[in-house]
Amino acid sequence: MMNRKGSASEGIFAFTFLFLIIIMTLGIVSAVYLFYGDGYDSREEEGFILNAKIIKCLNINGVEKFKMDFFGNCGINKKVFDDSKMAFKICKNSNFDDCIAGKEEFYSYGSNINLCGLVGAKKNKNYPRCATSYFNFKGEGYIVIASNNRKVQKVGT
Amino acid sequence: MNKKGALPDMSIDNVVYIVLIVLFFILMFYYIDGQREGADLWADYYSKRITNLINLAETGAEIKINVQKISAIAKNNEIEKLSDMIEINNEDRKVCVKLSKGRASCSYFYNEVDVTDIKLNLAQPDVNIFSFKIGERLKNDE
Repeated sequence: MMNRKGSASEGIFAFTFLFLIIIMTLGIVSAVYLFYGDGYDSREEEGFILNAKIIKCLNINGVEKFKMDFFGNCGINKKVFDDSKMAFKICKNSNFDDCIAGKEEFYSYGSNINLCGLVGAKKNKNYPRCATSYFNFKGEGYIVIASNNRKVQKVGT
Repeated sequence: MNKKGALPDMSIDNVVYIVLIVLFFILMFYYIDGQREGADLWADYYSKRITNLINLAETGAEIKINVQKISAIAKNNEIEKLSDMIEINNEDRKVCVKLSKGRASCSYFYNEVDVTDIKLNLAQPDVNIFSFKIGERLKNDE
C-alpha cells in the first residue's frame, strides 16, 4: 500500500512556496521600478521634431507638392512612420479643439490623432503622446498636431 | 541496506521546486543585472537621443556625442568591446544601444538618410566620442 503520510502538508508547502516566489518577485520588481522609474519617454519630444519637419517641408515644397507626396517630398520613411503609429493633422485658421474635431482640416495622415483630444488619455501611458505647434504660412495661421506612440524596443542580444 | 550518507530520494515534486527556484533566480538576476547603474534607462535615453538627432539632421551633417558616461556603464557591465555599445543599422533604420550583457534598447529613425562613418573615438582627448555623418539615402526600400 502506498504511504500517503505527509501528502496534506506537501500541498500546503506548494502553496507557501508559490506564495513566497510571488511576494519576492513583486518586492524586487517594485523596488527596482520605484528606484529607476518608468523608463525614458520621449514620445512628445519626437512629436515636436515631426512638427518641425512638417513645417519645414511645407515651406520648402509648397502646398501642392506637400499634399501630392508627403512622404517622398518630406524625406520621411512611411514604413517606420506607420510602425511607430505616428499621425498628424494640419488645420488652417483653427484652434486645437476644432482641429481635432476635424474643422478646417488642411492635411492629415493616420488615425491616432483623435486620441489627442481625450483628456483622460494624458494620464494613461499606453495612449500616444501629442505635440502641438502653431505656425504662419503665406500670411495665414496654421496648427499642426502630431501624435506618437513608439517606445524603445528591448532586444535580446 | 544502509543508505546513510547517500543522496536523499528525489521525488518529482522536489525536482519541480528546485527547477522553479533556479528559474526564478535566473530571471531575477537577468532583470536586476539589466538595471545595474541604470543601464536600461541610459540605453533607452541614448538610443532615443541618437534617433532624434538623425531625424532632425540634414544631409552632410556630422554629429559628435560625448559617450563617456555610458562607456563607463558598459565597461562595468562587462561589455567587452565598447565599439559594440552603439549600433546603427541603415537597412532597418535602427539605432541600438547595449549597456549590459544580453539586451539592447533599440529605436527607429524615419528620416530618409543613411548614417555613414560611424566611429567611436576613445579618449579624445579625455572623453569617449561617438561620431557619425549623415549622407543621402542610397537604397530605396519602399
